Amino acid sequence: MPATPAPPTRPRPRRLLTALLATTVVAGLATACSSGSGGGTSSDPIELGAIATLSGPATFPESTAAAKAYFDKVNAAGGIGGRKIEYTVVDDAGDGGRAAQAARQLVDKDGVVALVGSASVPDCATNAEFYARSSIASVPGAGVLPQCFSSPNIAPTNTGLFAGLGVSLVHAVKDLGKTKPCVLSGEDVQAGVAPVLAAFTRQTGVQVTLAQQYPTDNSNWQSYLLRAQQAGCDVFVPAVAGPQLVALEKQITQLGLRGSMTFMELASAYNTQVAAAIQPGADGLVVNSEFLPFTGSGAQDPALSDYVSTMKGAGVALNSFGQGGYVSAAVLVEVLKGIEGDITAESVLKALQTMQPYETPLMGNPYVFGNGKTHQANVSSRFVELRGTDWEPVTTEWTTLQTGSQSGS
Amino acid sequence: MTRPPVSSVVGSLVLVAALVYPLVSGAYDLFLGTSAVVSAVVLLSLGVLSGDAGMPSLCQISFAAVSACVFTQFAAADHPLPLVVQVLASTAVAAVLGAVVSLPALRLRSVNLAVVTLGVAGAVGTVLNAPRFGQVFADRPGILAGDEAFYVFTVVCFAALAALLGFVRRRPTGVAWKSVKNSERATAALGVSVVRAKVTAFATSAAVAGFAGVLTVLQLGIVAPTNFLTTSSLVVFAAALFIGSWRWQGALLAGVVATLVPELVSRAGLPQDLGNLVFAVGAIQALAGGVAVADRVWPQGGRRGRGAVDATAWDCVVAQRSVAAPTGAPALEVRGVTVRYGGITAVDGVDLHVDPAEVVGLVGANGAGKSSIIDALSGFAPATGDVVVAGRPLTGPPQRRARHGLRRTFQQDRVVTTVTVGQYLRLAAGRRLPADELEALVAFSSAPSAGHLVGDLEGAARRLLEVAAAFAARPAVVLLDEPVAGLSAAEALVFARSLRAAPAVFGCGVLLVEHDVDFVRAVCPRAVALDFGRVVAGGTPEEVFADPTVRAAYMGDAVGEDNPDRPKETSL
Amino acid sequence: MLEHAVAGLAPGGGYALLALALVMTYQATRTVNFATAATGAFGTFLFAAAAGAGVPYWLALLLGVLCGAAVSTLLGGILVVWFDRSDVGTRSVVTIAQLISTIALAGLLFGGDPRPVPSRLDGRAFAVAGTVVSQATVVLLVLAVAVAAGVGALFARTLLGRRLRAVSERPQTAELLGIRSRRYGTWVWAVSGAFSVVAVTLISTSSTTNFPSLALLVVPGLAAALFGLFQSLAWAVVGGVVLGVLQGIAAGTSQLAAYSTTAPFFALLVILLFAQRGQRWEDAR
Repeated sequence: MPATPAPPTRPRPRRLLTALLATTVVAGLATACSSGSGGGTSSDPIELGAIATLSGPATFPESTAAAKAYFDKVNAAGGIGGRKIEYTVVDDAGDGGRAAQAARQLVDKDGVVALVGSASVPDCATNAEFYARSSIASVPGAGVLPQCFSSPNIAPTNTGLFAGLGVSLVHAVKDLGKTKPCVLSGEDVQAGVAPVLAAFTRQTGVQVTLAQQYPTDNSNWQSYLLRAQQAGCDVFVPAVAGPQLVALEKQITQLGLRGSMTFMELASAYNTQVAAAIQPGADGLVVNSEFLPFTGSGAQDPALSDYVSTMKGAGVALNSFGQGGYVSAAVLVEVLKGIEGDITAESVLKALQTMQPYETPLMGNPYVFGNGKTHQANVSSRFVELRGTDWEPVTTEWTTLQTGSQSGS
Repeated sequence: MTRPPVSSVVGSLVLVAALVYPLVSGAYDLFLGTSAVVSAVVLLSLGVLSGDAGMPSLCQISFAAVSACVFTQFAAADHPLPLVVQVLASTAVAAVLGAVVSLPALRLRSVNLAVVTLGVAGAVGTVLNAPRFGQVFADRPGILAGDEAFYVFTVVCFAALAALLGFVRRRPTGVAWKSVKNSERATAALGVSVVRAKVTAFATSAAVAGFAGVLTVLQLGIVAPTNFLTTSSLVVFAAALFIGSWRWQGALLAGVVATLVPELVSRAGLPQDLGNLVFAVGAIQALAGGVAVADRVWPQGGRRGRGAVDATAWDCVVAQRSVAAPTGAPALEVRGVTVRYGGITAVDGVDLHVDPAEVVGLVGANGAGKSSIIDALSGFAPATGDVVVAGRPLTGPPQRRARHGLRRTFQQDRVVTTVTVGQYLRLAAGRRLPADELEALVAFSSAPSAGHLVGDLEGAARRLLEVAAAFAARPAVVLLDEPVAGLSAAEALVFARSLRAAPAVFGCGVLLVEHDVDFVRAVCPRAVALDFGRVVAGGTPEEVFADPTVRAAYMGDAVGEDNPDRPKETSL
Repeated sequence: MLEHAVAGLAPGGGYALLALALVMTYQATRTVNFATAATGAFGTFLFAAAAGAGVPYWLALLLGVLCGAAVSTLLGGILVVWFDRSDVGTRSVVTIAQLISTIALAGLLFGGDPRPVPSRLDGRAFAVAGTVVSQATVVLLVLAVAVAAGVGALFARTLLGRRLRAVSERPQTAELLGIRSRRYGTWVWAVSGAFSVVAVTLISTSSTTNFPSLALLVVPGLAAALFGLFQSLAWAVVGGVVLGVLQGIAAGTSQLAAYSTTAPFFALLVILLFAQRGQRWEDAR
C-alpha cells in the first residue's frame, strides 16, 4: 500500500441520500396515484374521519381513541345497516397548514362523509370554511379554539374553553357563594371572552372583578396571580390548556395562595396525570368535568357503565376529552342509522341539521347539531374537587350557562 | 461544460413531473402541489438571506405570518383596494419588518444574528396571537377561484419571483449581498454600503416570504397563528440546508420534499415527529458533506467564457487608451498620519504623496506599519493626520472614502467567487460601466471574458481582477496591499507588466505596498521605505534599497546585488 | 411594580442558568448551543420517567443527569468529529438541526404529554415586597451566582481553564502543544449536558413541562447570554435576571400582560444596539 492519505469517504452517504430522496419522490407519486375514490355502494364501509393533534407541544389523543373504540364496538355488532365504519384519524401536529392538508385528505381523497371526534388545536380555525364549502359536518369530541363554536358546520360535544369558563363562573357564584370572580384567558378578553362573561352576568347578576389576558407561550404566572390577589378576587378561573395548566397550579402552590381564594380549572385538568403532577398542595382545586364525572364516588354511576366498559375493552384511559369523543361517535351512529338512502356528506349534514335531540346521561343537556350559523351544543357541566390524587364529584346536578342562542330545548 | 451531468437532467425531469402531476391528478394532490409551491416560495426567500447574504434567519415564517395577517385584515374590510394593491401592501409590511430586523444585523453577524431572528420569531408569534387574526374568510377572486387555476397561478408566481431574484442577483444589488457574505471589509472597500446591502437583503427576503404568506391565505381562505409556528421556521431552515434552496431549482425541490415527507410519514401511519427528524439529520449531513442535495443534482457553474485568454488584449488596450498623466493636485497627499493601537504607535507622523498616474512603492519589514497606513487611509483603522485625495480632504467610514476616490485591495484575496467577472466589476464601479471600459478592465485582469465565473479564475487572474475592480470606479488613487503575495515568480512578472501600464490607462495613482524587491523595481519609478512607523528613505527603488539605513535595518546584503531569481523568502 | 419585579425572579433565575450553560459551552467549544435546553429537557424527562416508575428520587435524578451528559456528548461528538475545523457559525447551525432532532426524538420517545417532574423544592422560601419567593427560585439564583463565580475562576485561574480556552480558540495549535483537544471537547460537552439537566429540572419545578416548551427556553437563555456577548458569565446571570424581571413587570401591567413574553426580546434588541454601537468590522475576514 502506498503511503497516500485515504480518499475522503464522503460520496457514499451522498449517493445514499440521493437514492433516498429519489425513492421518496417516486414513492410519493406512486402512493398519490393509488388514491381511493369516494362514494360507494351499500356494502362498502362508511368512511368517517377525524383530525387530532397527536404530536407537538399540546396533544389531544383521547377523543379520537374513544371514538374509535365506540366504532369498533358498533362494527363488531354488525355495523350500521350491514355497513362497517371505517374511521381515519390524521395527526396535524398542532400546525395549521397540516390541519388544512388533513382536512383535504379526508374530504377530497378519502371521501369521508363526516368528521367525528376531532380534537385538534388548529382544526376549527383553519378548516371551518372548507367544511362549509364542502357541505360536510364535523362533530368534534373536543373543540379547542373559539371557531369550533362559531362556525355553521361544526358542533362539538364538549363545553369548550368559553362556555366552560361561563359554567364555572356560574358554579362559583351559585353553588360556592363567591362574589368576586376573576378570569384569566389566552384569548382576547375584550373580544372573544366578552360574550361569555356578559351571559354570566345576565344569569347571575354578578360582574367579573378582573379579566386578564396572557400570552400564549407564557410560563410565569406569578404576576397574573398577584394582580388577582390585589384585586381581591375570591375565586380565580383560568382558561388554560394542558401543559401550561400544570405550571400554573404548581406556582399557585409554591406561592401559598390556596388559602386566599378558590381556584378552578377547566376540563383539561380532569385526569389522573394532571392530578399527580400538581399534587401535593393542590387539594381543594375545583374542576369543571364537562361530562358526567367518572372518578371518586362517580366511578360507580350506572349511567357510565357503557362508556366505561367500551373504554376498558379497548384499553383507552377514562378522560373528559374521551367522553367527548365517545358522545360524538354515539351521536353520529344515531344519525347514520336514521338516514334513508345514500350516505353522503350532504345527507349526513342534513340529517344532523334536522336531528332529534340526542339524550345521553353523560351530557347535561341533549345534543342538537341544529342548523344555526353557530353551535354551542353543550352548555352544562358537573364539578369535581381534587382530594389526594383523586377527583371527587361535588355536584349532583348539572350547572348550565344560559346563553342567548341556546333556545333548543 | 458542453453537457450537463446526467443527474441534472433527471433532477429537472423530476421537477417538471412534480409540477405537472397535480394538474392531471385529484383535488387532494392539487392541494398538496399548491402547498409545495408555496413552501418553495418561502425557501426562495431564505435563499436570499442565508444563501446570498450569508445571514442565517430563523424567522422566515414570521414574515409570512405578518403579511398573511395584513392581507386577512383587507379581507375583513371586504377588500377595500384592488387585489394587486392589497398583495403589494401586505408584502410591503413584511419588507418593512425585515428592514427593522436587519437593524441589529448591521452590527451582529452569523450566530448572534440567528439568535435575534429566533427571538423575532417568538415575539411575532406572541404578538399575532394576542388578538386572534384570521377569523375572516378571504375568497379568491373569480379568475383564481378554481383550484387548478390557483395552482397554475402559484407556479407562475414562483417562476416570476425566481426570475426576478435571478435578475437582481446579477445586478449590483444582488452582487453586493454576495460580497457582504464574502467579506464586509472588502464590500466597504469597494465603496458599497454594507448597511444598504444588508437592509435590502432582509427586506427583499422578507417581502418574498411575505408573499408566500399571502399565497397561504389565498390557498386556505383562512389562516390562524397555528399556520405559522416558530418551529416551522426552524424546520424550513433545516430543509433549506438539507436540500439547498439557494437557487430556484433547489427551492422548488425543497418545497416538494418539505411537503412530501410529512405526507408520506402520515400515510405510513408514523408519528409526525419523524418528518422533522429527516430534515434535521439531512441538514447535519449536508453541512458535514459541505454540499446540499440540490447542489449535487445541479452542480454550480458559471457561463464559462469561450476561448482562452487573449494575451495581446491588454497590449492593445494600453496602446489605444494610454493618456498622458494629468497635471494638477497630487492623487494622494498624506501629512502627519499617526496610528496608535492602545499604547503602541504603529504609524508615526508619516508624510507621503502620490502624483496623478504615478506608481509609488511602499517598502518595509513586517511590522514597519505599511498595512496600518493602508488601513488608516482607507478608514479601517482610527488615525490622526490629514489625508487629501485629488485636492479634497478625505474623512469618514471606508465606503465614503472609497466613493471619494481612494480604493484599496487586501493582502488576502477577497474577491467574490460566486459571481461573474463582469458582475463583480460592475459592482465595484458603482456606476454604468461602458462596454469599452469593461473590456479594458477584463483585459487587464487577464480573465477569459466578462461572463467567466470569478471562482474559476486562477490565482494571478484573481489578484489582477481585485486590482481591476479597484480601478473600475475611476478613483484618484489605489492602495495595493501586497498584491503578489503567494504568486509564483512567473505570475508576479505578468502581474508587474500589467500593473506598470495601468495608471496611464485608468488615469489614477497607485501606492504599492510590497515585500518583493524585484516586483517593486519592475513596477515603481519611485519608492518610500518605512521602519517602525516612520519614513526612513525615499527616491528611486535603487536609491531606497541602496540606502544604508534601509539595508542595515532589514534588507541585508542581498539587496543591490544582481539576483536573477525571485528571493525564495518573500518576507524580508 | 416591585412585587411584579420579584415575581420575575423565578423565570429570571432559569434564564440565567441556561445562559451560563450557553456561555460556558461557547467559551470552551466555540459553539452557540441551540440544543442546550433540549438536551437538559431530555435528561429531565428521563428523570421524571424513572421517578414515575418507582426509582428513588436521587437515583432517578442521577440517571437523568447521566442521560443528559450522554446525549450532550453524542451531539457534541458530531461537532468534535465532523465539524472540528468549521467556523462558529457552521457549528452553531448544526446545533439548530440538533435542537429540531432532539425535539422530534423526544416526541417519539416520551410522547406529547406534559410530564410531572418530581420536586423537593415546592415550598415558599420567604416573602418580599408582598410577594412570595419560592425555594426553587432561591436555589436557581444561588446556583447561578455560584456557578458563574466558580466557572469564572476556573477559566481565569486554573491550568485546566486555560487549556480549555486554548482548545476552544486554537484547536490545532493546542493539539500541537500536546493538549488532547478532542478529549477536552468531549468532557466539556458531557459536563455542560449534565449541567443543563440540573438547570432544566430546577426550571421545571415551576414551568410548563412539555418537551417543546422546555427546549425553546433556549431562546430567552440565548438572549441573556447575548447581554455579555457570550463572553461574560457575570453578565449572563445579570441578563437572565433582568429579562425575567422585565417579563414580570410587563405581565403586571394590564396593557402589556398579553405580550409579556416578548419583553425579553425587545430588551435584547435595545441592549445589543447600545452595546455594539462601536463595533463595525468582522474580526477575521
